[in-house]
Amino acid sequence: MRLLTHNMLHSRHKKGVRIGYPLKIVCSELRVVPQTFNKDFVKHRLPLINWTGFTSAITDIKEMLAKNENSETFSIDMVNKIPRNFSSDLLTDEFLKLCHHLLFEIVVFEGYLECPETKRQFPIKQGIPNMLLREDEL
Amino acid sequence: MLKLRDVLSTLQQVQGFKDAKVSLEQYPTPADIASHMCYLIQQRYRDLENKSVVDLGCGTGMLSVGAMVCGASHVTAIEMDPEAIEIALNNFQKLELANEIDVIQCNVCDFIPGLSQYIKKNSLKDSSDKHLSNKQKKAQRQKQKQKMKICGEKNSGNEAFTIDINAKQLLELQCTPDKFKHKWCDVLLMNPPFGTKNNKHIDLIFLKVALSMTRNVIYSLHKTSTRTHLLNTLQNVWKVKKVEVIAQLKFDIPNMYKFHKTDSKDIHVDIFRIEC
Repeated sequence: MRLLTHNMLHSRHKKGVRIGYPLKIVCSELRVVPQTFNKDFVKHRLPLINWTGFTSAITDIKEMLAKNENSETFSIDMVNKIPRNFSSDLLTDEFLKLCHHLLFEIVVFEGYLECPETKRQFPIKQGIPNMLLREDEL
Repeated sequence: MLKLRDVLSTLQQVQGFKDAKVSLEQYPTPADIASHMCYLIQQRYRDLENKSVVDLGCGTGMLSVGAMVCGASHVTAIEMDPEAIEIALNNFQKLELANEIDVIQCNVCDFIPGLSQYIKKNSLKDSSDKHLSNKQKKAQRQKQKQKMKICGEKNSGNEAFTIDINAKQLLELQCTPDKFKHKWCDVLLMNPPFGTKNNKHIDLIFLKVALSMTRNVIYSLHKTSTRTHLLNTLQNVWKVKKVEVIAQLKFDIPNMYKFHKTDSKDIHVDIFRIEC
C-alpha cells in the first residue's frame, strides 16, 4: 500500500463509524520501491490529495522512515518540514520530488491500519490492505 | 507510439481465473476486448497516459495491466476475492508491473455505507441451482458446505446474494463523508458484474461507487441488453454530465459454469463512457 492509496481509504463502511478517517498506520515492514519521477503528474496529483490524511500518514510512519532512509536525496529533516496545510506556493521542484517519493515510492508492506473511532484493525499483508468486514460489523 | 498489437500481446499473457465463482459473476475480460478498450481510451480520448487510474473489481488484473501498458502513471486495483488477487499479483509480477500497481482487498458494496441493509444473503444457494435436478442440487450444496468448512471463512465467495434497492434509493446513499470529497483517481476502468443473475443491480452499485471515486471519467463494460435501462438511469435519475456508448463488442464467454449448456456463447457488450 502506497501513501497515495492510504490517502483514500476510510473505515466508514463499518457499523457505527461516522468519519473513519484518516486511518492510523502501524507498520512493521516498510519498502522503498523506486519509480520514475513524472513532474507534471505529481504537480497535477498533489493538490488533489487530502492533506490531513497525508500528514497523519507521515507522522505514523516517521520512525520507520528514519530507519529506512539512507539515501542522500531525502532526509528525515525534509520530511519533518512538511507543513500542516497545503498551499500552491509549496510546488517547488524539490518539494515535488519529496512528495513523489513519499506518495509513490514508500510501500507499507506489513502491518495494519487502525480505525480512529473503533480501533478496528485492518491487516496489511504483502502490501495489500484487507478492508473486508465481517457480516456483523456492517 | 502505442500499437494495438503490442497491447494485445501483453494482455494475452494475463492469466484468468482458476476457479471462477458464479456468485461473484467472475467472467474473465478477454484480452482482445481489454486491449481494444484500453487502446481506444488512450488513442481517441487520451485518458490513460499520465493519469491515475482505478480498476474496480479487477479480477485477475486484465484492465489494470491494460491501463499500465497504455501509459497510466498509477493504478489502484480493487478486488474482494483473495484467489483472484493472488492470480492478479502473479500477473503483475510476471509482466514487471508489480511495483506500479497498488492492490486493495475490499468489497465494492462496502464503499456505500448503509447499503448492507438492502442486501440479503442466501448462503449456500447458487444461482445455477435452477438448472439442476433436486438430487444434483443436494449434492452440490453438500459439496459447497464441505468447501466452506475447509475455507473456514464467510467471504469465500460461495454465497449468492440479492440486493433489494432501486436507482433512486441508491442515489440517496452517500459514498464519502461530505468533509472528505477527495477523489481516488482521474479515470476509472471496470468490467463489473452484469447484474443479470441473482445479483440484480450490482452493476448500478459499481457505477455508483465509480462515480464517487473518479474526478473525470468512467469506462465500463455492460451487457447490451441493459443499455436502455442504464442510459436512462445515468442520464435522467443520476443526472451525470455526459454518458455515451463508445463501442459495442462481442464477448465470447467460454463454458465455465455448470449451468452453461453450450460450449461457448457470444454476448454483446457495450463500452460506456461516463463523464462526471
